[in-house]
Amino acid sequence: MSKLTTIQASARVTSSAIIPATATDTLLVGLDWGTNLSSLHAARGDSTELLVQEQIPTVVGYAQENILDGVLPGDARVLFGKQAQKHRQHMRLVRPLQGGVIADREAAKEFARHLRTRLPENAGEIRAVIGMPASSDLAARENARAAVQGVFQKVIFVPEPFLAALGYRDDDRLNDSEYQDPVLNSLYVDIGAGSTDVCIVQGRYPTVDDQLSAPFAGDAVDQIILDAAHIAYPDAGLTLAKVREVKEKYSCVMGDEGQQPAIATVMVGGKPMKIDLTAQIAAGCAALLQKTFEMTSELVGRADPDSVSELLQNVIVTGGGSLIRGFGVALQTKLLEEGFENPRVRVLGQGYKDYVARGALKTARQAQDRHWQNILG
Amino acid sequence: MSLATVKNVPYSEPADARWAELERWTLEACVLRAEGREAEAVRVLQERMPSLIRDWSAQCRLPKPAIQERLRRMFSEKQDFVARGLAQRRLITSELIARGRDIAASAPRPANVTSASGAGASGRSSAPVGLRQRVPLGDVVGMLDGLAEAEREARREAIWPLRSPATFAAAEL
Ligand SMILES: Nc1ncnc2c1ncn2[C@@H]1O[C@H](COP(=O)(O)OP(=O)(O)O)[C@@H](O)[C@H]1O
Ligand SMILES: [Mg+2]
Repeated sequence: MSKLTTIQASARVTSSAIIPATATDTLLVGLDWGTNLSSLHAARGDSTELLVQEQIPTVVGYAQENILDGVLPGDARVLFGKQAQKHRQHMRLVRPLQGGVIADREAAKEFARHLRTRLPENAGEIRAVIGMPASSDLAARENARAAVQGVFQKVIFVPEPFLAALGYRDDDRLNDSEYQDPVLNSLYVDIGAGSTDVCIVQGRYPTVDDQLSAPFAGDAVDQIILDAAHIAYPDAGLTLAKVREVKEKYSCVMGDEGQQPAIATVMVGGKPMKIDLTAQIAAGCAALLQKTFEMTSELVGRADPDSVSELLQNVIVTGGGSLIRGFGVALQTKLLEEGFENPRVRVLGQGYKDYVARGALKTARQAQDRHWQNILG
Repeated sequence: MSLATVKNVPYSEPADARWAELERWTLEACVLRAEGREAEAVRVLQERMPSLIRDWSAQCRLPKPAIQERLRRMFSEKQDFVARGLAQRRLITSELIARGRDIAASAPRPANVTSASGAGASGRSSAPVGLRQRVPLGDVVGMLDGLAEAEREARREAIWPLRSPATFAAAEL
């Protein structure tokens, strides 16, 4: 354990070096607890300085029973995020969340405790605003509350699209005439690991009628690719993790012209073998595009007719799924082909990873005492 | 869920099928409004009611002022009725939630009890906890107030679904 403790301790030193060791006032946290990736922001209540800004893959690795000493850093029993991924061959990897909500309570607790180690050590009271899928219910909140017990003292849960809109808007430029406020009339599409969420933001927070959510996103694409690959290469011993790795490298919805051949190297009977997954990946990505298109057009259909033409000008795609090559153009083309007038689709790119956490921290700064829920224990 | 089974008619009226339907849809609109489903409530009021009112008015053979008076009285009675049911529900559920919290706080916490209102969390309600009303983006405090109320309502719903006979029974208390 000792080495792991040192690693964690050194992480603390970098964060806590910025603040006086005696600080006991409130630490505010913004947390995007994603199925795939979590983003953690933290700042003092009385300062604008961001003390922590970190992205951590939402994964917990448990060391295999019979692992030899010295294989894992500090002979740790549990590793998190990138560390866990790096040592995956010696660990059982568990994703605490599925479809944006907690699926494995123990792993979720471990992960929350890990988040604590990323925050300044003597933080005083820690208050966290935590993003929740727009479609999540009371039980999902209860589970999240239980998982962060002993980690945060007070929490507020807020639907992710609200936080993304707040985080995406540049408050400093609201008075700038050149600045086009992206939340005045936009349609947001968030393609994550577990779910695709579409919502309309027209200068106000989306109501339950302004949003749609489907449990079809990156993970479902992985499954489609894997199923199709099993048929073509029954002996290749492909896993979801491998498929995902190849998908993230070669994902594409540009048809034959833009598609690079997706060649994966797998071990068959101890020997490397090259297999071509181009068609399978194309099929998985096309299914996601179709689903996204259907959800988008349904929601456009619900919008106030007077606002639709401007709304179609501001379709914004975020989340890991938006990194599929050609996705924005393909969605735009599909909308156009289906008769929507003059659509314009923008893709946020890598930057999407911080918006929810940033919005969460903004929210934490404005929350009143009555909004904070005490976590007992 | 159909509200047709609710046989509460606080005063006696001609046993007229149209009138009964009018009452039923008025009650439905009030319940929808109470649930925050304003658009659906408006749809009932705009799409169902006018023709029912027209038909009933033509059949009842009452003078116009009497027709208006009777409708007005029925509307306000249904509103009061739903408001009473909701008030009782609010009162009783908040008592139950508070008690649940006390019990959870004093008992040793089993590993898989998720929280104070474990009963609530495991209840049937899996409706998303979201905003029903419109809140401008700049109004973070208003948004948080709206979410807090949505969560409270979800908790009530888990213990006592609004559309249950109990709500209508409570309205008669
Ligand atoms: N380049 C890429 N092409 C296709 N899919 C990608 C790419 N990069 C990431 N993804 C997928 O995006 C999903 C994760 O998106 P993310 O927004 O981080 O999820 P979450 O918000 O659910 O944590 C995963 O399914 C991942 O495989
Ligand atoms: Mg996300």
